[in-house]
This record gives sequence, C-alpha cells and structure tokens, in this order.
Amino acid sequence: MSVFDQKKEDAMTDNQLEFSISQYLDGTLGDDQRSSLERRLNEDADAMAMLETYRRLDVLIKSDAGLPDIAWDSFARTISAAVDAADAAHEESVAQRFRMPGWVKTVMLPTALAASVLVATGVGWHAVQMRWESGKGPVAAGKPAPPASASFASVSVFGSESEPTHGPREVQVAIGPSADAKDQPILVHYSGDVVSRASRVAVASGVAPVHDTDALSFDMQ
Amino acid sequence: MEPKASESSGELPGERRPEVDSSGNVLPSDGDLVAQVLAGNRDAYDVLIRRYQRQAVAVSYRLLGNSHDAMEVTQDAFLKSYSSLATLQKPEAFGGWLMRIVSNLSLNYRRGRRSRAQLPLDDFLGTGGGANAEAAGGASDFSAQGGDPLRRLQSEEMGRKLQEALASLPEKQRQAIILFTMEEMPQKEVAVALNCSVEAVKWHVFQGRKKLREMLKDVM
Repeated sequence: MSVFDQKKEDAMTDNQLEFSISQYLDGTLGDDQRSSLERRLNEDADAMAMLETYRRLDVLIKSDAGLPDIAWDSFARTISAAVDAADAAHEESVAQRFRMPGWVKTVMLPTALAASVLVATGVGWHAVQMRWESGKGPVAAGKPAPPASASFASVSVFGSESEPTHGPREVQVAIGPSADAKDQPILVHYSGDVVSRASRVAVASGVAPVHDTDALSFDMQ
Repeated sequence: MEPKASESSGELPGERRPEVDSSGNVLPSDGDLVAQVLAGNRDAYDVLIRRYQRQAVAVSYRLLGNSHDAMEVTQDAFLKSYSSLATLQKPEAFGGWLMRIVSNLSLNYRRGRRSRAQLPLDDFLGTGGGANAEAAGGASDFSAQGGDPLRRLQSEEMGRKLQEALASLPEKQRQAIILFTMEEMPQKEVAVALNCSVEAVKWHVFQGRKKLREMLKDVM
C-alpha cells in the first residue's frame, strides 16, 4: 500500500468505516477494499468492536423469532386452489362477454339478418340507378371501363410564327392520343373516345410567344 | 476474521444458486417455470408457489406483524403475479418481482388498516400465532403445533423489540433489511423488489443496520 493510500485510509470517516464493515459482513466488498479493511480492523480496536456489534445485530435480525409456524403444504394447496378458482372465474367472465342470451338468438338475430339483406338490396339498387342516370348504362360486355390513364392526350399548337403586337392571340389546337399512348395496347382502344369526346380544351390567351406553350396561361373550357 | 459464508463457498451474494432436490438433481429455474406456465403448464406455477410461499409470508409478516394478514397478502400476491405473469420481462427475476408485489401489497394493506396499526404482540411465535388464528377464526389450519414455552417467551420479547425497531425504519431501509438480511435474498433480487440499483440496496441495508444498532443496543 502506498503512503497516499495509507493516508486516504486514515482519513476514512466513521460513516465510511461503518459502511465498509456492513458490506464486509455481507461479503460484498471488493478484494482490495476487503484487505484494506482487515488491516484496519487488526490495528483499530474500535473498528473491531464495531464489527462485533454488527455481527451480533445480524444474528439477532436473522434469528427466527417472530416467524409463525405454518403448515406450508396446506397453505400451498390453498393458494393453488385460489389460483384455479380465479382462473376459472376469468375464463367464465370472458365466455360470458361473448355469449348471447336466448332472446338475442330468437329475436335479434333474424331481425338483424333481414335488415342486412334490406340494406344490401337498397345500396345495390341505388348504384344501378346512379349508373343509368349518368348515361353510361350497363357496361358493355367485352369492353372494360377506361382506365384513368386513357385521359392522356397531347396538345399540338399550330399557328403563325410571327408575333402579333396587340389583340388576342388565336391558335388552333388538336386533341388526341400521343404517339406514345397509341403504342400502348391498353390505350389504343380508347383513342377514338379521346379524339371525338374531348372533355376539356385548352385555349391560350397570354402574350407569350405562340410556339412557347410552356409560358402560356391556359383558360380551361 | 471470516467473511460471509456465501463468499467463502464461492457463491456471489448478488446471485441465486440453482436449486437442487434431495438427490442432487438441479431443479428447473424460475425462468424455466415461468415459461412453462405461460405455455399452459399450470402445475409449474405450483412449483413456484412452493418455492416462494415461505419467503413471501415471512416478508409480509415482517412488514405487517400479523400472520393472518401476511397469509392473505401472500395469497393475493400469488394471484396477482399469476394473472400478470405475461408482463414479467425477465422471467429469471420472478423471485424479486414477486417480493415486490408482496411488499407493495403489504404496505398498501398496512396503510389501509392505519386504525389498528399496533402490532399484535401475541402473534410473534408459531403456537401463539396458531392460538390467535383460531380465536380470530381464520387460517388456523395452517398453524403448526408445538414449541418450548421458555424459548417462546424469550423469543417473544426479542421479536417484539426487533419488530418495533424495524417498524420505525423508513420503508426502503426496512424492506432492504427484511429481504436481504433476514430473508437472505440475493442483492440483485432485492434490487428488483425495491426497484433500485444494487448499490442503493447496499446503502439502504447499511442505513437500516445503523439505526437498528442504535435502537437495539440494550438487547445485544
């Protein structure tokens, strides 16, 4: 042990010494601390007396006085039976939660079933009516409804290359599937629909160069 | 000067040894038993009951000072632990976890009966407790008969003083002394039971001992 350690040990407060003795009794001191404390105990009668006091206290605490005698086998069986009873009660409560009373089975179930059929019929009829009113009628067999991508179209701008100085600019527009869309088998069936029934036409009204369609603002009609 | 027996035998005070039966066979660990219970083997829980019932009653009894209340709390603790076993994150820590339930239920029980907080002093010994149990009309089937009257008287006096001193300790210190020093639970399990670190357990034990030393110096 170095001189520094010796001084440090000497400087140990009574409280620290007692804490070390408490841990020493429990066997939880590290090897170094234990050796150090044992040296101290050999040299310090007061420290040794304190250790003895704590030892007697431990014996007193650990003495069996105060513990009742209990027939452990009987007690274990009682606890086990209580666990079984609680388990059964729990299962019963879960089963009850999902069990239907007799009147529900005889009255409510047929009523609910009839109501479900009525609602389903009503919803189905409403859907058919809505389809007829929208003019689409029943979907023709063999021709599926157009996919959303069928609305793809290209806009070509034709017109004078000269720039008018004033007044509204007029351009011609042609609407139809792009060359790319035409090449797609799924869209080619709808090319006629797109050309003949264009839903929107864009007309330029800005003052940007006519060939610069990106810069034009379009009025949607 | 000899260190604690557990240390000389190579056993760490912070850990629990595997249990063995009379033939030397290693019994299933708490973790194994908990896993079996969760898998539907109800009998495995009976093994845990038998393994921990004495410790649970002892801990509760030392916190409550009444064997009937302690047995009631112990039964409640086993029921509670059974119903929430699936929430136990470390099955190997079942013992510490159960003792935490026992401690909490005991302290709640004690708070609930503040009006009769005085310890029933005739209940410190086995046969005394048994007689009392019969008078109270409960749990008498569990009280074993027998005991030396002289030893009983001496122990009763000692037990009374110890219980009084323990009852005056702050809760954590009292629990640490009961679980670690009296019940000799590994420090790791005590830490689980008290929901604190192992270092804190050491400190609570020391502080408790220090106060008990003062209070019991006349009888030591």
